[in-house]
Amino acid sequence: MIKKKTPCHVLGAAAWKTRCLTLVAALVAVATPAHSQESDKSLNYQSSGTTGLMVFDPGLNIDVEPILPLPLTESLNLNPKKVALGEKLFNDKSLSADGKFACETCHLVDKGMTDQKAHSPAIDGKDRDLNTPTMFNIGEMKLLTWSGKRSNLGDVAEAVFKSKKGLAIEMPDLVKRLEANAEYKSLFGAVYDNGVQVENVKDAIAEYMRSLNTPNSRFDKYLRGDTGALTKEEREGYQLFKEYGCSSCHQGVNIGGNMMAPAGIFGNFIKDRGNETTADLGLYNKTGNLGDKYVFRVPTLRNIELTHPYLHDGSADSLEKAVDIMGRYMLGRDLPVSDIDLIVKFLKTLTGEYKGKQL
Amino acid sequence: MQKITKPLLVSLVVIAVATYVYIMVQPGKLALHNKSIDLLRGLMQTNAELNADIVKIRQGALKNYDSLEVNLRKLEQKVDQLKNGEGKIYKLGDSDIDEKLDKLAALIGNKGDQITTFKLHNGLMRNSLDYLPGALNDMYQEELKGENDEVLHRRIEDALRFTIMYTIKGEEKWRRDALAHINWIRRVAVEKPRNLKLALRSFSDHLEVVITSSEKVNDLINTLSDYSTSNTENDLYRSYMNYYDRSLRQGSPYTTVLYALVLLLALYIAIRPLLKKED
Repeated sequence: MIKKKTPCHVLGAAAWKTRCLTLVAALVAVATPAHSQESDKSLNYQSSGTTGLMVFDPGLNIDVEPILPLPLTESLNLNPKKVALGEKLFNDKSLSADGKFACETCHLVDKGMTDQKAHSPAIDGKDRDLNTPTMFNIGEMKLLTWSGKRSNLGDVAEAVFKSKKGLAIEMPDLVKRLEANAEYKSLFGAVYDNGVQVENVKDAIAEYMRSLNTPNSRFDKYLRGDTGALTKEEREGYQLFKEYGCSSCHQGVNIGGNMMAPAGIFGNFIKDRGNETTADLGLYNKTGNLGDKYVFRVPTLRNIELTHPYLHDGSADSLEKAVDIMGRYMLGRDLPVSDIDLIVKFLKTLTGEYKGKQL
Repeated sequence: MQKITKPLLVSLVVIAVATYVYIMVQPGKLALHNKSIDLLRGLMQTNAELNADIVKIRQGALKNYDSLEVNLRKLEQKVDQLKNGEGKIYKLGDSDIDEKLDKLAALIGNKGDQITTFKLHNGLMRNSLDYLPGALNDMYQEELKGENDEVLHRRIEDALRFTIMYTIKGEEKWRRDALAHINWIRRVAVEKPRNLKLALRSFSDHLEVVITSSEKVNDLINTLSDYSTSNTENDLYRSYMNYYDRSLRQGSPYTTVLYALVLLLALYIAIRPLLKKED
């Protein structure tokens, strides 16, 4: 039997709210897997006390979480000799055209594998166009560089060696320099049957890059079942992170780094900032498609506490500011300060361990 | 002494020839053939996994994009191995295989571009979908609290309902209706107090993002899940098997030699007693 519909004028704001929330729930459920709906039954709803956004302790089910824990370094099966050789190459300034730059110049371990500058200096005397992304966990990065290249780590290393803004040295010249160095010759000989070769240089650096793994962040421990690894506020921050939609782009093992996204959906962050540069055009510079203007790789949020300043142009000097900008341009609203604080608390749980030590 | 040495030498030569011919008769590159077959089957399996993950992501059953990139990389690596690595089937003298492998490489490259666009639009859709429950709750707790405009309430509900219908069914009718309500809400919002105006605008904008993005995502899923890649993989597999069969048959001179050798030996054994009698 069809129920008689309640006349509109009888419904108050509360009734409309219930009806609309039910519809929204249906809208979300359209694309939600059955098992996650089942797990929702046990959710314990409570108000965040700030905006009314619903915060709940989900009784974590890793199968439906958007973020996955980093693999432990031991499971990566790295070759220690290659890693050591790669690290030496990575840190060696004598391998650049002017002998003053190394990969390490912009990627320092104690600065989250960045240099914590908005724009790193380049070998040509001018600053780089884009903020230096972290190299921690680059082995798990699905897309490389701000333009989201699908290439292997060795090829990226080669591109940096050859780039006029990188180390500005051609690979054959690099091989000659290495061959002329007795120590390198011996080190390469100990690892590779054919000694110093371009492919071996790339392979050793790539192996070192893969070793830049920072597992065991408090959040990873939480994902692995240690519910005490996060405080209540940090868990609330994570919940807000998901409810504000941040996890629709910042997801996967690296909490980003696997997709491209525009620098703003609601408004244009770059136009509002002013002084637009060619580098601000992002993926457009690679494809020439108008739809790719201002589109960049979504950055990883792992070790984000250490990799300031933020955004592709390094214009956000604090995490609070970065989250605020994201709220404004990705959601079209000003996030309450209390919610920003909770999200930042969660983000700070993403700092991991390197070589067994907390970063 | 000579009586023993001569037959011994003859038998050694016969054994050497027979062994050589036997080795040549074997599908000598069997290990490489198996590798090629593994790669070709792996291509099909990886492509199937990739397509399944795309659908899972659209449904929300998979909440991250890592596997898409992992499987895409696997496809590229397998094509590269078939072209240049162990198990290579490229440039072996069969233009049909070369053509199909080139076509497959181009299709995978194209698929990669489409996956980039798919992730972008699906991300935008999810961003708004995830945000809407909280935004609506906020709006009812604050800006819409005490608002007695029944028509506005109904329009909000209808805009939501039609957006849901469009997201589920993808039919133009629902999109048109949802957008009509969204635009009505935008027009009415202008006359409302500032906070309510902003909240209604934001709500409408997010619904529109859901509609626009789901339209693009659905179009991309149709393109991504078409059969061109899997059909080309099947065609390539068939072409390679035809090539392999042909090359096996072409390898038959050695089989003929071996067969002839066996016949000669049999004949020799048969006539040897007669020859001895004559002696």
